[in-house]
Amino acid sequence: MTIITQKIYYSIVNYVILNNCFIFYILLTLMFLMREFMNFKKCQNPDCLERSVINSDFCFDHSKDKPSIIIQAKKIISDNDILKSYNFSKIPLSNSDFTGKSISQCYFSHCDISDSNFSNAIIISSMFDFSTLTGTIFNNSQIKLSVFGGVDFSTSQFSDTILVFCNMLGANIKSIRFENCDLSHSRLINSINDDVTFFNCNLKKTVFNNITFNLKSLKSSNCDDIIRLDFTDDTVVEDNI
Amino acid sequence: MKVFTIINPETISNIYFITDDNQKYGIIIDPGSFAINVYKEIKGIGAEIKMIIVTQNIPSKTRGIPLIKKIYDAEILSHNTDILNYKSKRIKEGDLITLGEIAGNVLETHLLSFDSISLVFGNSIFVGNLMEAGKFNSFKRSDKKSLIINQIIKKYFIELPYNTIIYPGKGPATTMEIELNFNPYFIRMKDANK
Repeated sequence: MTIITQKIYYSIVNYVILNNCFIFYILLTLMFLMREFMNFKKCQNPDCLERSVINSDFCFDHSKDKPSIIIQAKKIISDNDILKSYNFSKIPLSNSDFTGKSISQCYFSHCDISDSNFSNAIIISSMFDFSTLTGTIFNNSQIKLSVFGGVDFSTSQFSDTILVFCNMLGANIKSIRFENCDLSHSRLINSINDDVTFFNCNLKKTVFNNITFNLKSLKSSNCDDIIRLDFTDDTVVEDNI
Repeated sequence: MKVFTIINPETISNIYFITDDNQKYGIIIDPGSFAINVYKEIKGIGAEIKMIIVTQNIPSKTRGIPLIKKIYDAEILSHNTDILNYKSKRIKEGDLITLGEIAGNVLETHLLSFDSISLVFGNSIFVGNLMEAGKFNSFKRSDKKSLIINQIIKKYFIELPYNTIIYPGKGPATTMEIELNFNPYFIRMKDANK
């Protein structure tokens, strides 16, 4: 009984803080104010526009010793608690363990990171665009100002996750249950969001263009604080739901 | 060249600080109110502000300039020649901006106002309030604006490499690849070109 009461109390407090306190955002931003964005060398292949990956002068596609790069990437991930300014783009990294790691300014573009674990991780200003993140666990992680455009999140777990100021354009969040999550200021335009559930989530200024909330989401999250964009042929209308 | 993003806590908008590789000097784009935390972060980076670029002459982007001018000997660049009470160097379409090893050029993206510009530095484009991830920022529900957006996309964005990082004035960064696939404006443009 006590545990249930504590949980309810915690969720109410969480909800009130997340929903109504503008200072919370300021504190969040003050805590993680500075974000140095990535500065990687270009792939040495003259026709390539990609950036070079870790320990290589080439992008992953043009690297000659791909197995070695995969091993090195996995070693870097397992050996370091802080991952800063690494380019892992296109390197297959499925079943990796990022638990409790601090990840900032890293590239995971077009990576296969399926069935990985990001529990308790802090992810700031990192790029995961067009990656496969199926079956990945994001419980208790804090993700800010990161790019998840075109990512496949199907069967991933989001519980007590902070996912603010994130770019999730076109992300596949079909049938995902977000539980006690903060998705404020994140952008989910053109996301695949059929049957998604937001339970006790903060959706303040979360941007959607095509979303139908189920009863559970409407009752337990601040769905009326989202920004819904209605794109028609020549105009865009912005309104709250 | 390094790009730092600092959040302006008053308006929850982005301030960008571009420095050389050794973080000795830099350009600040849209300094906002230049709150104390922003100053501390810039001090932490260690680079001296040599140049201020304003992408649009509105108070939320310029309010902190007097303070910056007191601390640093920084030149102001904008499309508008008067920023607050300071004379600024006018920059226009195609102008090259150089500061040591940092080099970029100017695009006149007059969507929001006559003086709104965008800046291309390396494989990054700083668009100010022109757009946010997934949408362009002026939708006054008029066909004229829509037409201007189409012109801007055609003229400046379609030709950019797909891995160009777009740094908007508000919200998270995005890439051309994401925008081409999921931004309704770009999708419409692609469909029209088919």
